[in-house]
Amino acid sequence: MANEFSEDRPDARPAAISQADARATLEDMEQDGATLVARIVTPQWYHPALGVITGVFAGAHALPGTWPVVAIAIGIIAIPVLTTTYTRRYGVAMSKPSGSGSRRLMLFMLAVLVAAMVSSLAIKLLGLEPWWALVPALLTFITTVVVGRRYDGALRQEITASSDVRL
Amino acid sequence: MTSAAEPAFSEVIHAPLRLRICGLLRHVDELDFAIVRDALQIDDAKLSKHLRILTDAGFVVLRKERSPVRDDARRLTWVMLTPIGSSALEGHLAALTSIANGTPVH
Repeated sequence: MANEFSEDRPDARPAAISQADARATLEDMEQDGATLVARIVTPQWYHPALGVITGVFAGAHALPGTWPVVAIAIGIIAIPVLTTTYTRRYGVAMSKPSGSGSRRLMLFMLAVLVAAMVSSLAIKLLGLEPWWALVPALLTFITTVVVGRRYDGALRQEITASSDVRL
Repeated sequence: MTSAAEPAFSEVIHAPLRLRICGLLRHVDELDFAIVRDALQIDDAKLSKHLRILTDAGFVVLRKERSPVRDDARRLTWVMLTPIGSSALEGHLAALTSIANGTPVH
């Protein structure tokens, strides 16, 4: 909804703004937030791709020889490639949670990743067959895909809610 | 959501388009120039004019980046709210909210 403010009004004192104008401006901003949310739709390929990378991080420690270093190095390179590809393609860069719900989901994903990496390391230290590392790697992949999509949903809800700044 | 900032009216942000630009940037790290333009349904020239004012005030920074989908020399322009701009925006939103609720702001 367009409001009655002129773009470069000479009198910009608060006293010159009517209650109706202020409300209309806040409504415009709420609408803009909804427009932005419509743009933040993560493509279907994003979370599976991220899941493969986090799965590699999770399982790499159980690999023999220098393979853990190689796998983790590939993962470290792949993450910025993935996020840069996404932001350039969709024109939106978001690196942090926008509220308590998305923050909780991100912390949960990080906790799962750390637990999986520790499990993978334990598999190596206990002398188990390396293929056991597929278990934490697969769990990390599934968590990233499932929780990652929920994270996006939470993010969109939080942006919509925070766009409504009216009391 | 209600802004927790102290009401502080900003004459730079007050223009509706500049307020809406800052409002969009409030939620993200950076937005592509084209996304802001399309969201506000304005042309490049008008957006550039308002971004220049916001940049001069230190509220917004622009970052140029080569575009992977363009063969020519054109670049992507990323727009980001600065910490100063973010504080000014939250204060301004608090002021507008007060006015919208019938509380005078000085």
